Amino acid sequence: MRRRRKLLPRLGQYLLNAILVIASVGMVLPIVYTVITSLEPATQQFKLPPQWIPRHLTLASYRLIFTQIPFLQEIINSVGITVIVILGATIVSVLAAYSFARLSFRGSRVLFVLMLVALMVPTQIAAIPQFIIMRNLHLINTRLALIIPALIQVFSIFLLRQHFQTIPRDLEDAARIDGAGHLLIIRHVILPLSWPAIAAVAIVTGQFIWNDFFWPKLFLTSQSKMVAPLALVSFSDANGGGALGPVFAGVSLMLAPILIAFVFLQRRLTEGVGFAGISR
Amino acid sequence: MTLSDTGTVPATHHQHTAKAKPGVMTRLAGLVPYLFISPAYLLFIAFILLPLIATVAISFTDWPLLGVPHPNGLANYVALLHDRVALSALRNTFLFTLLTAVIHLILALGLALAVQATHSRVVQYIVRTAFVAPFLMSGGVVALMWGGLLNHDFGPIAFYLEKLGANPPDFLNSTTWVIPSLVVVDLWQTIGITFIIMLVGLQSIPTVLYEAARVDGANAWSRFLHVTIPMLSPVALFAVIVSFIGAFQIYTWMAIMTNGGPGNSSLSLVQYVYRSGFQDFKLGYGSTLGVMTLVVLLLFTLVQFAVSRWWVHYERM
Repeated sequence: MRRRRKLLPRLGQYLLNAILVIASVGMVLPIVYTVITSLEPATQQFKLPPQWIPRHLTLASYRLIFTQIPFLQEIINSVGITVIVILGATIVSVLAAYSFARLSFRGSRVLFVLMLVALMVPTQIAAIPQFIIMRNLHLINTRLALIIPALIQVFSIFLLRQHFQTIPRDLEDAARIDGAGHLLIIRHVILPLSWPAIAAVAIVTGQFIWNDFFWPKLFLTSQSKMVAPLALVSFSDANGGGALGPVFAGVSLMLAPILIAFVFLQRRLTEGVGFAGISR
Repeated sequence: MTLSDTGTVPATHHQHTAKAKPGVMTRLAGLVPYLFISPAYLLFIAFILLPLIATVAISFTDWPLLGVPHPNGLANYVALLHDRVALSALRNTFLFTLLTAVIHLILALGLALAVQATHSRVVQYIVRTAFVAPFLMSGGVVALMWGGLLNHDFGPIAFYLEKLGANPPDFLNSTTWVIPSLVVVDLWQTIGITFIIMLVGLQSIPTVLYEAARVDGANAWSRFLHVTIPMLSPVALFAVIVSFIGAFQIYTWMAIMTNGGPGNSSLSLVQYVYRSGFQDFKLGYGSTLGVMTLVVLLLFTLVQFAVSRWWVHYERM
């Protein structure tokens, strides 16, 4: 009797684990297919059935993507823009969030609530005036056109403000009696207690910039200034979809920064994503 | 703690300057809050608030890309009422959003429950990695990848479906299948975030509640129904609203994989704004479409909050 009662949940566990692992493999299969296809010779790429264990491996597609378009430069653009926006937006957000959370000033509530309205509004619907503003600033076809508007991340300000409000004030009061300025308080009291929130904000911002296709498509026109996904899309379009190998080689290369991020940050990433989700 | 140490040590440097000119310092101190919010606020005004207001203003004009705007009253809105393309963009976007939000919620909840039920840490790690990884890929790259996978002639999906005896449609060139296909792509990329949100939500339900229910003789199903669902509902509402707002502004899949086709059967609202403004060069009408998109989105968000009173349990933790 006792045995049977234990056996059933254990069987259930095996079954559950099997289903979960199969589902996970299913999620990864498209990526595996892409990487394998990118390593096949051009004659094999369009052939069915797909060869999951290819007989001939070649880097020809990789050579093509680097010679046909300035792909290295474009990957650097993608990574560079993402990193700069993460750093810049986090600094802008920390300052604003500290002010909203800690400093009482006239109009603080109204200004904060007005800003929150932006959380509900997709900025793409205002693409036309955005384009005109950028044209007047002479920023069309510059990487700054992607960086500057992205420095304002309303969600980050909101999340950080919520977090800063949970930090006990006594800690700062001790510092303030000693005459520490606000910047010193932020650096030595607030930041050390806020790394999970800051990691969450950085991840959300980074994902948003890295993932975006709309603004690069609108603002960037010359190859060497494009971010990598846009460059691959325009390369693919220019070849009428016939350049599967080089395009998939580019797609595979774009996995590298993510894998690096994952190896170092797996826990932080999932925690950060969850943290951002839950405290919104 | 080390905090107070690090807090006080550098502070002493500052003390001297603070004491030197007290009058100026206090006056400046009143400006500090504004100084701190000013980078954020100037950017907010220049790149969010101003463009939004301008969109509304431009929507009442006729403005060719290379010309100057001429006020034309409600003409764009009248044209909008007769625009069948706008209607189909609205329909496509709404269908896409609805399917995405509902399937997201169900799949993510199921996955989160399964991951919480398994005792194997290895399996938990595998699932987390496999489901979150696509979320970190760039949308444009995902679209290129799935464009190949869903291709009718050389894509593996149609091939294997055929092998299983099905008669797969040409997913991206079929007016009925194009939106569901794009929903699958969207789910693949973003299910991970909804799953993590749900998992964190599940893990934050106090175990005391389950024990109390067990003592009262509740079986697994009724514990799920009377503890898990109500306790999770605020998180679920949040997840629905996030995926709803995200899906409503969808652009990437349509722009890369279908160009809004076949016909206009996968044209999205944001894509139509882009097309009117930057391909047809009608800045006025494009802005009108933007205003319509915004109004529809706000209406649906309000409806969601209203409806949520019926299913979301607000006495939370």
